[in-house]
Parts: sequence; C-alpha cells; structure tokens
Amino acid sequence: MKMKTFLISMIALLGMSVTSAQAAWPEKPITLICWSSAGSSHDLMARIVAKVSEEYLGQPIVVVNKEGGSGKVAMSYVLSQKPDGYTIMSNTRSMTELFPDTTGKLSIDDFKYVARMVRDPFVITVRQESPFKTIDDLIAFAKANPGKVTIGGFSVKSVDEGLVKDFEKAAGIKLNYIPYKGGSEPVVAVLGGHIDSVVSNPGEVNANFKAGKLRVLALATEERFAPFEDVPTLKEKGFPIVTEHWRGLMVSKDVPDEIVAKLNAAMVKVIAHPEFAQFLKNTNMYEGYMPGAEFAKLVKEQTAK
Amino acid sequence: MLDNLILGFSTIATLPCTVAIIAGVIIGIICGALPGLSASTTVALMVPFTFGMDPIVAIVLLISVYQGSEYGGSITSIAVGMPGNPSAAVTVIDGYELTKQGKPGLALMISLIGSTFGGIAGAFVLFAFAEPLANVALSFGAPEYFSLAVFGLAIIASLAGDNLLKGFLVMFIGLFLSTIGLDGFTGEERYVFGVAKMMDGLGIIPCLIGLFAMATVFSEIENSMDSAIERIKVTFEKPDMKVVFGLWKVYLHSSIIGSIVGVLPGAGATIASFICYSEARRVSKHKELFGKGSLEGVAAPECGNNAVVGASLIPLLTLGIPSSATASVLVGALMLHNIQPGPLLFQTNGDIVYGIFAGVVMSSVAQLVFGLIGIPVWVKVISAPKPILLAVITVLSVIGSYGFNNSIVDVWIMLGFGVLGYVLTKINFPVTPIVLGLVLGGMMEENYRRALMVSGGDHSIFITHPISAGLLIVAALSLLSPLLYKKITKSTTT
Repeated sequence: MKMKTFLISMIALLGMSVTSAQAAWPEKPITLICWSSAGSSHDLMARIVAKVSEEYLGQPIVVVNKEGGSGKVAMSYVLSQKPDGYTIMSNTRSMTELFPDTTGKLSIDDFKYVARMVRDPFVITVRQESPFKTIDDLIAFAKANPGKVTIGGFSVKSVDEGLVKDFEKAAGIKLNYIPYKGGSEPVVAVLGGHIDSVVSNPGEVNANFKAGKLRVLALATEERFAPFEDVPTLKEKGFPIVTEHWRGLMVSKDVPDEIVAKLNAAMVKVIAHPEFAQFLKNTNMYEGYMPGAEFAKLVKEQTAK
Repeated sequence: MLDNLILGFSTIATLPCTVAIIAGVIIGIICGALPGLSASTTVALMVPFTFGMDPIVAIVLLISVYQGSEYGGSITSIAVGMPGNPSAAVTVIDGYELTKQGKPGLALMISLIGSTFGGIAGAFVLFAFAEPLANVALSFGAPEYFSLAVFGLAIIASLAGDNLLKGFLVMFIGLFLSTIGLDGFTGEERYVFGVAKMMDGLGIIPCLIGLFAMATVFSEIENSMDSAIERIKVTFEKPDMKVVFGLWKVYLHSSIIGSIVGVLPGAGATIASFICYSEARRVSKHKELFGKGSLEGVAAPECGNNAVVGASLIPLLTLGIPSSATASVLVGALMLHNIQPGPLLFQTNGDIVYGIFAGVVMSSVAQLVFGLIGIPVWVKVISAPKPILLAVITVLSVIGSYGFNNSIVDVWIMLGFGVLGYVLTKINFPVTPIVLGLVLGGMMEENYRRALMVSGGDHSIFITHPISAGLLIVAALSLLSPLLYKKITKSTTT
C-alpha cells in the first residue's frame, strides 16, 4: 500500500516536472548546432539568429560548429542528445537533400522542422568581356556547340549542379559543368576568363556586378528582384525553373511540440527584428519565413526529387 | 597618395581602434601559439564579439588577431617543436633545432623581427600594388594552380635533407592521405569507412599536432626510459641584434615571395612559408646549415607568412574575393558590418580601405612590442622540467585537436599521426614532407581534373598556358638543381 502511494506520487511528480519543464523552457542556455565552418554565411546566419532570439527566449544561445559529411555529423550529434529542446540545429537545403544518400541511418522523419528563415536565390553570370550579351546568346551558342560552354558551380550532386541540369534539359542544350569547392571560386574563374559562365548566389557576384565587371544573364526565381531588375528570369524566357537555397531551423523529432511552437514564435519575432533585416540586406540574402508544417512539406518535396 | 596615408592613419588614431589593435595582437599571439587554434579559427571565433562595434574598429581588431596569430604560431614551433598553426610547420625544422642547441632566444627574436618586417612589407604591397596584383590573382586558373602545386611539391628537394628518396617516400604518404574524403568531382567516398567525419578528409590541424607535438612526446618518453631526463638549461640572453638584422636580405626576399603567393586565392600562408623556406635555401650561401639550425631557415618562413596577411587582403578588397580561409572569414565580417568588399570599395569606403592598411602596419608594430615582452617568458617555459612540459603538451594536443572541430575523431587522427611521426623519426625519415603532401595534394588533384574538364581531356593545356608552363619549368629546375649542385661540387673537389 505504502509502495503504491509512493509510486503514484512519484509518477505524479514526474508528470508534473515534465509539464513544468516544458512550461518553463528555456531555463538554461540553448546550444545551436551549425554544420558549416565558423565564418561561413550559414554560420553567420546561425550566429545572428542566436544573438537576436536571446531577447525573446530570455536565455543565451550558443552556436557550436560540428562540421563533417555535409551535415551528417551534426545531424547524428543532435539526434544523440536528449530531446529536451536545449539542442537545436540550423539546416540547409544542401544538407537535407542528402537524406536519400545516408544509407538509412538518418531520415527526414527524424526531425521536426521549426521554421525556414532565409532564401538565397540563384543567378547565371558571365564576365563583361563575354560575347554572350543575353541568355539567348548563350543558349544559341551552346546549341551550335554542344558541351563547349563551361559553367561553374559549387560541388557535385549539389543544388548548383541540379540547376544546371534543369536548365540544360529545359533549353535542350549541353553545357560543360565544372564543380568547385566553394561558391566564390567559380566566380573568380569567370572574372579571370578561365570558364565562360557560373551559377551562384547573388552575394558572390553582387560587388563585381555593381562595378560592371560581371553581367548577370538570368535569374532562377519567380520574379525579378533587386538589384537585378533589368535581368530576365528563366521563367520569362520560357524555362520554368525556380531554384533557391534556403536555411532554417530543425530539432529532433522527440522534442515536445510545445517547445517547437515556442521556438517558432521566437523565430517569427527574429525575422521581424530590424537587426535581422539589416543582416539579410548586408549579406545579400532574402527573408524566407515558412512555418514548420509547410517547411517540412517543402523538404520532403525537394528530397523526393 | 600621401592624403590616403593620412586618411588611413587618422581613421584608426582613436582610442577604440588602439585598444582593438593591442587586444587583437595579444589574443592573436596567444591563440596562434596554441596548437589547434589556427589564424582562421581564431579570427572566426572573434567575429561575434565585433557585432556591436563600429565597422572600422571591428575590422582592425580582426586584422590584428590575424597578424598576431601568424606570428604566434612560430613561438611553439621554436620553443617545443610543435607548430601553433600550419604556416609555422616549416619553422620547426630549424627553429626547434636552434632551441636544442641552446639558442631559443635568438630563434624567437629572428622570428619576431622577420614577422614584423613581413607584416609591414605586406601592408606596403597592399597599399602600393593592389591593382596590378589583383590582376595576377585573376590570371590563375585551373592549369596554373596545378602547376603551382607541382612547383610546391618540388620544394621537397630542400626539405628532404640528405636523402631525397626518403623525402619523396614520405611526401607520397602525405599525398595519399590527402585523397581521403569525398571525391569533389564524382561525390564518391574514398577511404571513409562509414565515418561521416572522414568525408571531409583529414583536417590539417590534428595531423600537424600529431606529427610534431605528440610524436615528440612519444620520443621523449622513450628517451626517459633509457636515461635520466636532462633538463634543457637555457637562460635568456639578449640576442646579438647585428646577427638578427644581418638577415635583412632574407627578410626582403621572403616578403616579396610571401606577398605574391598571398595574393593567389587558395594558396595561403602555409604554402607561402614552404616556398619561402625553399627559396631562402636555394639562394643561401650556407645551404649545409638548413635543417641543422639555420637562422635563415627561421627568418624566411616567418617573414613570408606575415607578408601574406597584407597581400591576402588585396583580392579581398579589390575584387571581393577571399584568397584564404582567414580572408573568407573577414569577408563575412565586413558584410556583417554593411561593407561590401569589391571593386567599388575604394570609392565608397576609402576611409575603411586605408584604415585597414594602417591597421596592418600598426598591428605589426604592436606585435613587435608585445612579442619582445613575451620572448623572455617563452624561454622560461622551455626550461620547465621535462615531465611537466610533456604533460602540458599532451593535454594541449588533445584539447587542440578536439577543439578544432568539436570532434573526438580528430583526437584519434591526432594520436594516429603521433605514432606515424614517432615511427618516421625513429627510422630516420623526415616528417615535414607529409605536411607538404597533405597541403598540396588536394589542390593539385582538384585543379588537374578541373583543367582537363575545361580542355576536354587535352593535356597540352598545362604547357600552352604561359604561367603554368613557367611554373613547371621552375619546378623541374628546383628539383634537379640540388642534384646538379652536388655533382658540380663533387667534380670540383676531386
């Protein structure tokens, strides 16, 4: 009898402590895992999110970089931690697109998606001296000379290469895709005239575009955007290609929904914060908020491809 | 031109900037000396601290950290034979040798004066030759980088010591190890064995710590079993400054090489320090001293890697292109503060550009001041009892390799390389060529394949590009010249 009451009271106590833990979250500093190296644009986003959200969560967020395996190391680490909402991680499209490759160990359903934060669109660029004045010039030349036009981008099996493949298919051309280890390396190669063209994010071409050293031929977005108002989208040219990078937040699937909701609410406020807006403007990225459910759907769609 | 100089120095002649320079240099020197915290990591860790700062203060702080840590790396190289960062790896060869000969004060002083000279020279190059050198950076495409890597590997002739064959063997181990990780062109996994961490390849930092620090610890443990440990007794004596400044030719020579290599995106301070070492040996009148405690062997790499600081800012400021890992952190930091590095920066933010230039100069000066205060302290550290010193090195090695990427895998890699370094030393093989292979292997493979992709599989691309052809010829010459030199001296003596 005594034992029974003891057990019941223990269970009640446990239950209470669980609910109160959730109600009080966060009571201690939160760790934000970032799979990119310190100082990269993904890392900078993680750090600005950490800094601004402290105001709304009332606890500091510490960014910890866990590089390796294009994010696999970071994901495995997050899943190995207690799912109490004190370990969260930032994600990127290039990371979640790896899910089909991860030999069954990691899957989309291992995570809950908190919010998508930023979008980073793609543009196709050549250098000023290039004979290609418009995207039509490039397509016409590539049609006559299959495989002769070199186009650089970041890595293989990447979003960049995917965009080039989609473009080749839609325009009925064959390009010579040259992968690079970083996003700005192919832009340098275009500037030096070593390759003909490059797919990249605006941040990598902006400075030299404004100085007139680079010419942006096309945008892979729904609509034209600043500062490329004079440049057509691929859509306008009749190729229905919209490709963009994004970055957001996710947590282990075992984190209670209330905590995910609280995190999401904080992220909504972060996005509205002027400091975050200024950050996006300074780094040539674009606000891309998407609530958790919608975000999860997007990740699934893009991974299924 | 004078107006710009005045503009630059007046921009940073404020209390916050002065504090930033002093604090940055001190943090840089200390972090640079610690293995595991390379220049790029240290600068990246400092970025969040600059969030609330005035842009110019923030940038000057980061550049001072960069400058200080390029010097700081040599302190542990010389004092305990453990490079504080990759660009100080080659300094170990002669620097640590000098310490063993009881002359750590002299080696440290040469490294400090060389670093300061290099730092100021780099700033001058940034100020005077930014425009023409930016074009040099652009003229390097895939075939040129491949040939630069081949040229770099030819340095083996100066690193290998007496036995070129042994040097080659060890270098090929390094080249082989550099193939571990994801294939950058097909996405295939190579020697990953299911460890996700290995997909990015071996980090240069844990390898370095293992090869130098841990291997030394293993060797010393073995020695202590055979005989009672002798405490190195060194007291700090004021080095003969005539000797230190007598090396001015080496400083000048290495500053020029460091500046040119520093401008090339992807080359960076490590490659610059290796090339400076090899070139200093090539033109030296005392070639036989290299590897046995040559003063020039300390001066050249240390001067070269600090010249890289100013020079690496050239492509960053003129083209908006980062030329090294550290420079890409700086790009991020500049953008955070709403400064877009690129061709328009000189027009839109002239004060920032010339402020940065002044910052590089002043951080070199601050480095000299605090470096001088530090030298007697470092010398004291060397005289600490061996068991304590070895224990501290072991702890730092483990922390350094873990902290590099918060990964226990790196600690195992470090220990593995410790064993490798120990075995190589035991059987009288040189260790440094592994670093050469590790640093240049990836660059060589990647650009070889990329060049052939561009040319459609035609190998003539490497000789039809003039810069590439030139580099390949120089590589062949520098590889063959020691052999020829030996032959000539032999025939003249007999």
